[in-house]
Amino acid sequence: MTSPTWLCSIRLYSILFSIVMLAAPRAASPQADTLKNTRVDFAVPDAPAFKVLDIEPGTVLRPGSAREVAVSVANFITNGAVLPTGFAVEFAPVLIFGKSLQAYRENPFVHRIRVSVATKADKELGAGLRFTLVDAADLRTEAALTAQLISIGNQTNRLNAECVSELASRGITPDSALFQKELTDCLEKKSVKVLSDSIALLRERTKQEKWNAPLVEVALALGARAPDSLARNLSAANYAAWVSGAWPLGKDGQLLLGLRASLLRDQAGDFNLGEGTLGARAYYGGNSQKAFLETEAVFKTATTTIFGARVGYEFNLFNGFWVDLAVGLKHRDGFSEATSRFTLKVATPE
Amino acid sequence: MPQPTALISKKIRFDANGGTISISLEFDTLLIGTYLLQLREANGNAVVMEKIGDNTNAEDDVFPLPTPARLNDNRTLWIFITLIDQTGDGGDYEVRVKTSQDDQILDTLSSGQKTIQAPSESIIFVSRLLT
Repeated sequence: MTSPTWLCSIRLYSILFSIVMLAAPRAASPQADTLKNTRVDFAVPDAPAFKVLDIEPGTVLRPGSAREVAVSVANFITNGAVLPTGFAVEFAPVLIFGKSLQAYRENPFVHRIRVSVATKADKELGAGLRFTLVDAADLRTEAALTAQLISIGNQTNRLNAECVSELASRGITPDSALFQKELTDCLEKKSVKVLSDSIALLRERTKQEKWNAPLVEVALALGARAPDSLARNLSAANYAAWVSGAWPLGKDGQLLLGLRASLLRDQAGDFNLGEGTLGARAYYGGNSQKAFLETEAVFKTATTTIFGARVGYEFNLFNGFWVDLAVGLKHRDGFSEATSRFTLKVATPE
Repeated sequence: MPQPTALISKKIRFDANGGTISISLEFDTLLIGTYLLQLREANGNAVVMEKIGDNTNAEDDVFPLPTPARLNDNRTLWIFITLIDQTGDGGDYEVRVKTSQDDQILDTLSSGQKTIQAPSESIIFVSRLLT
């Protein structure tokens, strides 16, 4: 007997939620509040698995710096029901398990590889891979920030050494029960907190400066469809590949250009239909909020070209949560129809 | 508020007539790790040897102590480490300090597997070298 659709949705969301939680164990840390206060977000990039299912109108795959895990939930209100029709999780496996900053800096390409899975309306599944070729916004490879932070680390170490010397001259050694308290007091007097606070400020300033830095990505994805809600009846429905690039438009703007090529099944069930899309999106604003204008042209085998354009707004709702709103028009065969989207994106751990 | 500096200390026995004692630092993390290594005279603050470094480059973080080995008897090795969260996404870390002589590991001090809870965290490793 086929399970009810809502039950299957809950199961699938539970699995995806489990992946997120397993991949981000420290999100449950009791001291997570400390971290929340020190973070600034970059916008969450699109997941290829989401895009291959066409959950989000718009064909430009938005590039972005790799995070360990990112989640997207789309189109909450459908046919009057307040339920998401799409859910995606994207994670960077090498980044999650990476243990060497030196290895990351020597080979960021491997660490930035991201895997995504998505579902739509319980009967469609997507899987995607994303490769980052250029990422000038990556804080792990940003030379100026790294040099500044190393300098702060060296100053902190030097203050610790000075305090240890002062304690030793007073006869307080590591064996003493007073050592830890006296060390903390000494470091407070030497304003080590100022150094620690400056880390968050430097990081924030760099993120604000780098929000529109150059990024180039390539992605591949597979969409699969089932006639019912049973996963074993899934069959490949389409393949897609993207090339996306982002470049600064002055200080407050960003231009995204994207190319997408898809292969779809025809009515006989063979992969004979091709689709090519050229898109552009321009942002204006800052890291935490920005307006955008996007347009695309879709060329399909044996059909007329479709043109679309949207205007939208993206903002950081609160730490880790991003909202993407857009309305627009799709034009085909002399007819136009309105389109809209509402996407909530969550990056973890936050 | 910065996290309190963690202190990890131990006495390490070595062979006064053996070969060179060397110290190696290992960082298992994607966070930035910086260090200041000081070898201090027994019962004093006089610094015999000092090295600084970090985990962002390909240079080996391995340092031989003065020879002959017996010179280091009763000296204290201080290693001050600071981990920095450069992305704001947090991260795990483990720092180890290995002391070896004639390619034999005498002892390993470890911070243990930790998750950074502040923009920066410091650890002090203290090894008292004894024959």
